Amino acid sequence: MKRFHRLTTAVLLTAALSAQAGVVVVAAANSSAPALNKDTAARLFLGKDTNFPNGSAATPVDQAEDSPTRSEFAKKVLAKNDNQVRAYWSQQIFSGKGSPPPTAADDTAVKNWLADNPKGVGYISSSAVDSSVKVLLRID
Amino acid sequence: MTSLAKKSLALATACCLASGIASAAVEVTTNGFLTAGAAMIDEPDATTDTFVNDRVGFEYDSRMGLRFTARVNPQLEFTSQLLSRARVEGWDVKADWAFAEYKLNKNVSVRAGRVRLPLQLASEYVEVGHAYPWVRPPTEVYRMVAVNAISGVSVPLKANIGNMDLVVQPMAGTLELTTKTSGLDISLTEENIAAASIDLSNDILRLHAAYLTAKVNGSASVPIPICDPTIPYPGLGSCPPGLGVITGDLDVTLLDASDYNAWDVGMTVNWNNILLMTEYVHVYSGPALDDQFGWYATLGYEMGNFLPYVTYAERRSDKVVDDPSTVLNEPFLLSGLSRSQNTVAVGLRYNVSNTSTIKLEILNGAAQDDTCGLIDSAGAGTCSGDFPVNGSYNMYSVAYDVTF
Repeated sequence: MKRFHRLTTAVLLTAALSAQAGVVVVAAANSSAPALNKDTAARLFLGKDTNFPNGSAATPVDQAEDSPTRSEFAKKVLAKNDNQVRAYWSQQIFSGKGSPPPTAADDTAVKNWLADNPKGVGYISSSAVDSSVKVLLRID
Repeated sequence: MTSLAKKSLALATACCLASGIASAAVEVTTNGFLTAGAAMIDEPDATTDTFVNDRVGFEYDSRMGLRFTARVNPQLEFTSQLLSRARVEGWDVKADWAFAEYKLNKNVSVRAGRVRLPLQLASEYVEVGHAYPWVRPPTEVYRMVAVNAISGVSVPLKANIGNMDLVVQPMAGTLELTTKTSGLDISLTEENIAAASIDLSNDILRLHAAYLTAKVNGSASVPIPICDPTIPYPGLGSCPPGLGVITGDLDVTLLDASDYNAWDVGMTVNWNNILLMTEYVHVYSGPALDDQFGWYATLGYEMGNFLPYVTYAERRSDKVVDDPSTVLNEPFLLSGLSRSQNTVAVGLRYNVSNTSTIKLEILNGAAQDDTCGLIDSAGAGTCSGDFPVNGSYNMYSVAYDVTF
């Protein structure tokens, strides 16, 4: 019974930590991209800016629509819910103003994409950060 | 973004362009949208100005569009949007807009071709149901200016003011179009169009203002009974009384270089779960036509995938043509264009998936000022069907919107 309780506690703790893990905006480890704040990150991912604050070109990559990290990023950084993000891109695309970033399936796919795209910028769960990426912004 | 199913492919293709590009890798992007919409009104034999009548029909709101963008290089791209609309007689297809855009720098670009005219809040995506809450944008405002694109040049200018994005878009060009009003096919040519729009926005607020001025020439083809002298009537001569009559068309000049001016102001607030949209448009057209204005306010509240909303709208004529016969010998044609109506609509948008929505809407329209409101008119004081002047009607609509 004690063993069961320890297991349950561990599972709950892991779930709680995962839910509070936060989101980080990242670039490839060898990228020259500077640190970002929420506003500059939002402008890059909404297509309003195409360059980092230091002037170098930025190519954002989004996460798939069913990704919980994407919803958290949209809410905390873009200040929009999923429906508002969809409506925003419908308006941008069909008014000829812009196109949404390409998507990667999950945190691992984002890191792989960044490795192949030196100008790239993406976001992942903070628990997925490793030596392959450089953290530009941390959002708890 | 999978919700919009962006299909992008890089084509290594030879391009012979005036700019001297011999060959380049052209990135072509395709997006599309579709709306299957049905609507009906509860007035027997009456028809609205959007062609809705008392039969459930899919031809009123249904449409499909395909947008293509070919990026030749970071500065130059070509964009085109094909639009197909359902009609009683079938689907029609037209190039809604098609232009070349050259980015001079990140804040200034030049567009040339058939370019979008952003006169109203939703003008640039008015056909894309997925992009707004309603089944259709309030017709009290959006049917008043039937111009969404012109042949000409626009120069979008962007700037940042604090945390706000400013877009100023001056444009100039011409336009030819045909429209159907009160059963008549009317041809309009707008020349010397000069327009400008200003948009100031951030994550929560969007403020919009626009102005357009043009010279308009208009003509209508009016069916009249005429004699056909080629029909022989032995012993009676040609065209005897009561015989030899067929229906012909008489081209009538409605407008001759008449002034046409329109201005619009609008605001969208998207704060937490609250959506507020409001807009006012005013059209004044010299001595030939009634001046018209309209406005609406929409309030919605997002609850998960549901967005219930309520809209109040009005349309009015604020100048009656004193002597229409001075511009037209068929005064009923012009007086039949006066439309005044108050409208209340309640609706519900449901996000079925990331790329599709279902919308339901019930609308009550009440004609005002001794007009037929937005019910079609056959002339002053005569509305289509048995709809009375100053009468009211209900309209029921459902729409399914998809982007791909």
